[in-house]
Amino acid sequence: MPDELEERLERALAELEPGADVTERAHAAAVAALPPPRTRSRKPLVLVAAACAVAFVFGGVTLAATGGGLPLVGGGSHHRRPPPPADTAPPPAIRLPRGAIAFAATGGGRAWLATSSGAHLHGRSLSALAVSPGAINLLEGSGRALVAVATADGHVAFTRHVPGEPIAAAWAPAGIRIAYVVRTGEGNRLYDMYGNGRHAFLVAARTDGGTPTWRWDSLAFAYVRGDGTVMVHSVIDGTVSALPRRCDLGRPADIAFAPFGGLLAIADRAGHVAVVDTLHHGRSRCFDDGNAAMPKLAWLRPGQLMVGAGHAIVRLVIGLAGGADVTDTPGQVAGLVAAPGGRRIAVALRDGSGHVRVVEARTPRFSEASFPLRVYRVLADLGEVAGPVGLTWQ
Amino acid sequence: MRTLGDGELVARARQGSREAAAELFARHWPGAWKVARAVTGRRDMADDVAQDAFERAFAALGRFDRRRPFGPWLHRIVVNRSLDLLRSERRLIGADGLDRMEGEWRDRAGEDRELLAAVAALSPQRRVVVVLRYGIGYSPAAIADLLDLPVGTVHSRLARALEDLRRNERERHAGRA
Repeated sequence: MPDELEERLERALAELEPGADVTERAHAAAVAALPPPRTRSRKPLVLVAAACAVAFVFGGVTLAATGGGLPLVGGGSHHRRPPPPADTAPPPAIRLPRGAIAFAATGGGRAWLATSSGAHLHGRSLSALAVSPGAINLLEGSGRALVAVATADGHVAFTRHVPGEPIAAAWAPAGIRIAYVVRTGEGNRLYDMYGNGRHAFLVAARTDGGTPTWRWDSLAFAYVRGDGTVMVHSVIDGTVSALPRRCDLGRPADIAFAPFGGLLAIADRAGHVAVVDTLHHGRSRCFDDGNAAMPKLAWLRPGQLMVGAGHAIVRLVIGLAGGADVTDTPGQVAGLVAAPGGRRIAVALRDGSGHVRVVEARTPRFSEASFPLRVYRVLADLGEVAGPVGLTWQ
Repeated sequence: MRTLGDGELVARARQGSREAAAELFARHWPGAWKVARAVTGRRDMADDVAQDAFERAFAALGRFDRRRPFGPWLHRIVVNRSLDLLRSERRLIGADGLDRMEGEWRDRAGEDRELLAAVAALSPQRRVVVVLRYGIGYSPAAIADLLDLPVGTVHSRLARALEDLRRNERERHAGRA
């Protein structure tokens, strides 16, 4: 016989109800997760599963490469989009740097892309874009969904319904995980999911909305919490560590993990840059480039960092010898990326009227004097784009 | 469709019937969400956990033993995911997230709100059994089966949870007096 407290508990708990939008989203996600109907022969499934297992063993890049294939086992959607335009398409709005397999620019809610397989985006309205390792898949954010599309044939590898507008996404270097940020009424929520779109998990309820940066080994990523604290999240055990604020850093404006090791660069808008060793608790290195502007960080190699801000790119050497060099740019730096290996760079430059062009340029050389940026060619003319421009070079 | 049992719906969903899957979802979504919300104490977390649990459950329908009831299987996933997330959140944002738990109940009527806040303040282990017992209506034996616990442990956790809630009530009334 339940007593009065138990009856009240039953009443109170009975009245909890999910929202209609949440129910709709969850329904779509659950049905999309259904496995495909069983067929008589299991041989193909076994073969695909074996291929996935081999891919897992031999590295995440391979897993990313099969990202379109995994849902065939797990039951993702199998829709196709029209194949990306190839030779018959109009001239691309963005050019591929020499030797690159993919180059992308995002800004102002639009995205541009060119891949060596012939895929192009011409300023498409997307709230987020991430390119998988090897440029096998694109992760496109729009509306309340993230859609992974194969660059080769437009095959939709998976669709992930999310609780708001996806505003940033980053594919782990090994391809096995994706970190993404969703803007909701309660804040910018950060999630982590597998590279096949499964098992999304909330990492933080409030972040600054910036793109997370992955460590080279894909075992951790860093992000900025809503209060401005830089956090490093381990995807292995779910632990997280808050980095103490050093070097007189204000609110972080950009963060970037080095291409190898555990160095994490953090820059604020006041020209302060901190390089923190997140793996070995080593000393933080502090720099002050004196350039009070929105910074963009890009690593050339594990010991060399570029900071683009205002009308200059500062190159910093992180090591015992140290050193720095300044290169003037013919426009305000809105985006910055280094080629794999650091031999060349691409810079998004905004002119006085707000017009943005992306150029391929020579990596700044050390010298005592300030040298202008040596531009090889224009990669894209993005028109008027507000805010920072995200660049990806593979 | 509504007269079909869960086992039959699962079988049809496995064969690709979206109608059956939709019916299964409609039947169990409110309960799964309720468990998630009551265990996590937060609406945003409940949204994610319940959706994630359903995705996992549907993706694994092929491995589901149709002879067993679907609801407890799903709720086991929800409870485990909720507890995982709570542990993770505690590491991630410390007391901040726990503070929010109480704030989440402010949309409730006065008595409900205070009672639900007291439930939210219970330890996760006790909160889970309270929610499964009084929110979902499972018997202690079913809860024991779902959580892989001895029935005696479920009874003791329930008794201690109710004792905590009663003490909380007494203190609240004494405070008013």
